[in-house]
Amino acid sequence: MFALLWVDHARDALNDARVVQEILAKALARTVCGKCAAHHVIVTVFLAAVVLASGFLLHSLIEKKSADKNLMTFSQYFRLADAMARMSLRADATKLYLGYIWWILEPFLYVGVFYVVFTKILVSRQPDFLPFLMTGKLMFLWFSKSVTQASNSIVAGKGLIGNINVTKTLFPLAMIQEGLYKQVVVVFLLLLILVVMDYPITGFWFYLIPVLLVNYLMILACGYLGATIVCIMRDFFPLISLGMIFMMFTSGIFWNIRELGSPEKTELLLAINPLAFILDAYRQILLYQTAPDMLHLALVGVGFGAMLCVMVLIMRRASQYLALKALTV
Amino acid sequence: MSQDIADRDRIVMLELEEVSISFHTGGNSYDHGVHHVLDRVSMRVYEGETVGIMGRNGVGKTTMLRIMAGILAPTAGKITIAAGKTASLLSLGLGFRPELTGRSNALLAAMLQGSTRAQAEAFVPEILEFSELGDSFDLPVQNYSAGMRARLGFTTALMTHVDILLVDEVLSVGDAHFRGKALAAMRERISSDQTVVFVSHMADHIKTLCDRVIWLDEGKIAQQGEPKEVVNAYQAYITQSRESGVEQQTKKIEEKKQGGQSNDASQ
Repeated sequence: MFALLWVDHARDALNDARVVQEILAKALARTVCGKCAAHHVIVTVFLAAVVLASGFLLHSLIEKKSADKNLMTFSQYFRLADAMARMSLRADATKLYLGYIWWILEPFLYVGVFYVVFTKILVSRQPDFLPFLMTGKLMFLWFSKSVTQASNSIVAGKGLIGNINVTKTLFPLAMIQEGLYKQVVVVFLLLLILVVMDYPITGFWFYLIPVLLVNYLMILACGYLGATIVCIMRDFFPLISLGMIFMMFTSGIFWNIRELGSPEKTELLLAINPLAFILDAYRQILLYQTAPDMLHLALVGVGFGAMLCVMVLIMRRASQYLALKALTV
Repeated sequence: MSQDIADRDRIVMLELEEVSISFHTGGNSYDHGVHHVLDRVSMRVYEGETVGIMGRNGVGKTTMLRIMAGILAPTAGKITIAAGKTASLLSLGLGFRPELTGRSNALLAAMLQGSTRAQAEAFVPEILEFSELGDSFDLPVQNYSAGMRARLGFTTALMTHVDILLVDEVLSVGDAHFRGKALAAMRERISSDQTVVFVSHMADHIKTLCDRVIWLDEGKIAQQGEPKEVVNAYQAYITQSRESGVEQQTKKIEEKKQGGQSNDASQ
């Protein structure tokens, strides 16, 4: 009886998946050639597989350890990070007069400041500078704020660390989730503004999914690395803030990486700076209706996925050492 | 001899073998910047017993509990916990996040101890009732008095259900009424089959709650055994060091005075 129900359920799911696949293929076919579309769907699926594989690896690592009853399972761990992030967001909002409005007000104020400086004082020659700046700056802020806050998270959580044997990845993850929830609202507003500014909704918008996934992987990997380094040596925290300023100036936020006057220079910068590549990919999709270089995106995704797995392994192995450093340095 | 035979029949829940821990403090404090907190400490905790740990501030009592809870690793030596058993530290504050409300902190504390969100939500009314925080429960913890924080800390920590409970100075909480309530709750917990390691400065609590007491001094076990015997020895030591401290202080003041008088005379 149950087996029959399960077969029916599986058949329905398969049909649904086929329908979704057809819709996706049609949407892509309208904008890119069939061969490219198939190729890009494969790369997107591959990227999703990388993210899922990273998740499963982390899951198996945590599950394996959770044979020790003191440690929590992956779902408990993720729910805890989610609860910490939500509670912190609520507490922050209640402290401020404008509450949740700050989630969108703060990043858009940053954009406003840059817009005034680069149009009224420095006179940028970039056409459509406002949507260009908004796309780059809002996505960069997600990366820079999440990584900077995650970097200080283990040190800031030493009160808990001194009392509970908990995996140290929890602290940067909770911070990164906070940034993610805020960014969901910011991205929706950005898309809305672009539509109001007559930028068309096209099939290329589907490419946002793999780019956002890779961007999230980058934040996780860099946030975990920053949190570990800062916990071991506090001197690195101001260097991380400095590094973010360096990234801001070298990632093409208020200048166009494709208009450097030399294609080789552009290629080199996109190759050595993954953040510049990701920000450019958002612009290619949203402003110029062009597919990003999916092979490049896949390589960045695999690289940061591997870095994330290595960081989780290190943080788990060195959990007690990190606790000692957080409590004593 | 008969004690050794009796111990042989009991189940060892937790064992420390030659455990040492030290860390770098930076600068030139301690031993060239290295602080040796515990020095080759060995001890056993048997199933169902309550072991008290006494000692002056800074002798390594909390560090020892943190090693037992798996929060810190010893620099040298070995710690063994019976297979499948859990140990957890019960301490005031539980690392509160001051910007969150008492309710959120209680929920987080329960989830950090391994409860699901639903289980944690179920604990909340119990925590609210026992802590007697009333409407303050929904205010940020940063607005709490020290006593209110302590009450919230004790109550959330009391919800922990583990095989080996490591208790760090939790009975000095709040007003006399709450202290009595906390002591009764702790007594109830200890009188069950719970294995407990109990750190306190309060001699009365140690004497009444513990089956065995360990006195830590300068990172080593100075004495261990019957609660009455060890507590008395510890108190005598404290009185003696206090008296010798006063004597030394008086001697210094007198020397200063004499120095001042001879200076005056020479002038």
